Amino acid sequence: MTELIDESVPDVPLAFVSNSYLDELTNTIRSRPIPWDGYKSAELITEDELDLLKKIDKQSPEQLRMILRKNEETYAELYANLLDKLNRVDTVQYILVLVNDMLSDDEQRIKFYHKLSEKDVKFPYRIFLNLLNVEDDFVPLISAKILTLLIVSAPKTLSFDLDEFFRWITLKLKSNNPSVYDLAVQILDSTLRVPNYRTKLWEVSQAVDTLVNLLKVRNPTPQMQYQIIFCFWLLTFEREVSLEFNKKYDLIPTMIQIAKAAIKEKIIRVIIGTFRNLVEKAPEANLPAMLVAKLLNFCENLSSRKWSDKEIVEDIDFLKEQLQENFHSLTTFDEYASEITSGMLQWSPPHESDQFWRQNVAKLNEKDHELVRVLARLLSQSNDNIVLAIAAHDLGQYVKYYPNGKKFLQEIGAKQRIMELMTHEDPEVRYRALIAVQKYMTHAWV
Amino acid sequence: MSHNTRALNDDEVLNEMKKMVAFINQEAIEKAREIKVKADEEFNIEKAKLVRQESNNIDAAFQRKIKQAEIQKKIAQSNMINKTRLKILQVRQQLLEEVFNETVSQLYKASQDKVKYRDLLKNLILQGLYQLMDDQVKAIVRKNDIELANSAIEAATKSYKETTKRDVNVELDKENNLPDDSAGGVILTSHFGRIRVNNTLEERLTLAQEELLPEIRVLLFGHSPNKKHDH
Repeated sequence: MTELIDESVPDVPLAFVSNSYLDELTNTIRSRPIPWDGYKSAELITEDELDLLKKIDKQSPEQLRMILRKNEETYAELYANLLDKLNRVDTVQYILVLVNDMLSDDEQRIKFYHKLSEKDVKFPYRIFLNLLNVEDDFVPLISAKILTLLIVSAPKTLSFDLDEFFRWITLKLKSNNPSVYDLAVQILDSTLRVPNYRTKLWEVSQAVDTLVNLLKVRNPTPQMQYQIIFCFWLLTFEREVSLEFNKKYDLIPTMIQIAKAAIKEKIIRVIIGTFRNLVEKAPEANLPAMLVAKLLNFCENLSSRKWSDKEIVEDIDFLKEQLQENFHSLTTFDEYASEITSGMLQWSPPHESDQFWRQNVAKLNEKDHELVRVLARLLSQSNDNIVLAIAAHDLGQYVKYYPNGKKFLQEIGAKQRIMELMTHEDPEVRYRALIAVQKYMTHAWV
Repeated sequence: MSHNTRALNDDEVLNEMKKMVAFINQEAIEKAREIKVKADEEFNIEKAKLVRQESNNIDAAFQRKIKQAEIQKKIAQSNMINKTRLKILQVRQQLLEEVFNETVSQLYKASQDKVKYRDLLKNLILQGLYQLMDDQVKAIVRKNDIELANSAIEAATKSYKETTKRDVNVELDKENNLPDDSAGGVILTSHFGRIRVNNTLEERLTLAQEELLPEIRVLLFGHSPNKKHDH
């Protein structure tokens, strides 16, 4: 298979964390060189270290690349050692830029930093973890970026608890500086590509809470919306997450709203992708909510649009198919009963499913026609047109599939009430009442 | 996008192009990343499935092998048990035969002590007379035993008369004799040879063998662990 890889096309980067805020800071620091000779005199660095630093000083990018290529291991060790022993903020900043440049030029070089773990248990993670707490705008952010690459390329299980990193990220997500929380989300976008880390983040609940808050409350830009939902997409690959995702955060309606208003295709792409995961990994937990939120309609709408992207079409078709299949089976009587008794009627699957009525009409007569009475009461007392429409419709269905119920409806005055509603001000209510009366009059199943 | 009415100069054009390139690049990387994520997930699922499948296959094959080995073991065990049982039976049979053969060869000594032998002959004849219950009996003996036989006949006849109060005439059969290499004893006949009592020593030994076989077995081999003995 390796012959098919086109070397001229770069591979997807393992970690992808950058924005103009960070780039500007990096550029500024890069242009402020450090007087290394002074450090050597003060015996803060060794002669060898000074030599190495001088070799790469003031070199062009091509020259720098050539020098590094021959000494990757040496320079990784140099930078790690300097970060370990030097404390001045501007020096640390400069070295971090050197590390960043070394890795930006070739991501594969990260393996030399991993190799350092053989020399000292502090290397490579602890060095950068400690820098997260430095009081400075630049140092923690750039350290986090490097740490992200280290984490996603880790050759074996991490020697530290990811909680530490995730808690720092959560803090940054709460920042008032959009550039800062942008980087934090990007870090998550890269980190969550590793399956094991997903469940870890999900269990450190504060982080996901903050992300949800960011999406729902703090009015993010489209790019930020994409990045946050990309996180959700990655998280929902894990069944554990897909099971609780909507129950905990009620994100299905939110994401449908966002998708409807989205201008950028990629936002719809990740939202549909996330929905697909929810259905694939935990259908029983998510399909009902999706149907109630009218996702099926939205998918049909999306299907009619022209997409240049092949994957989004596949995902939409998949969702549609699953929703349609389940529309018929997701009509449990218990859910219907609880919806009726709650009084908050909606056009959920049972109402319009003939199969549902055929199978369950007799249950409405249980406990002295309890549910029929509830419907009748809603019909008389509710001011909500939707409730009236649904109640009228349901009572119509009731007599259609259980003709003997006609007498009872008359006794409790429901028949009278339905006829009154035929002249209601709302057209939907009138329509539903009319249809219900029609069912009342006919004798045969239509 | 610029709202200037004049055309952009070279620097501005370059700048705009850089921005567009960066934007396209960003979009492309994001899409490429999504594709990679999906591919990785599919790979993991497929790999897990294959691993599970193969593990199950290996487990099943292993179970089969274990079962087979157990069956083989049982068969071998059974065969071995049967073989050894047969061997034991064979050896025992051989031993018994040896005992009997040895006895047969010892039989010839029985007639060496003349006093004891004459007594034996007398009892053999007497027993035969009781069995025949006839008044005319012929006795067939070895040629060498004729003298002893006559004496024995006399004694036997006397005892018979005393016990049964009947008379009997025992004659030596002049035409028939026991072969010379016989161990001894007597054959009694009556009714013109139509009724015979074979009391040769060989015959007596054979009878004894049959009767005593169970006892001899126990003496040689001990009680069989499976059989119930009510001695």
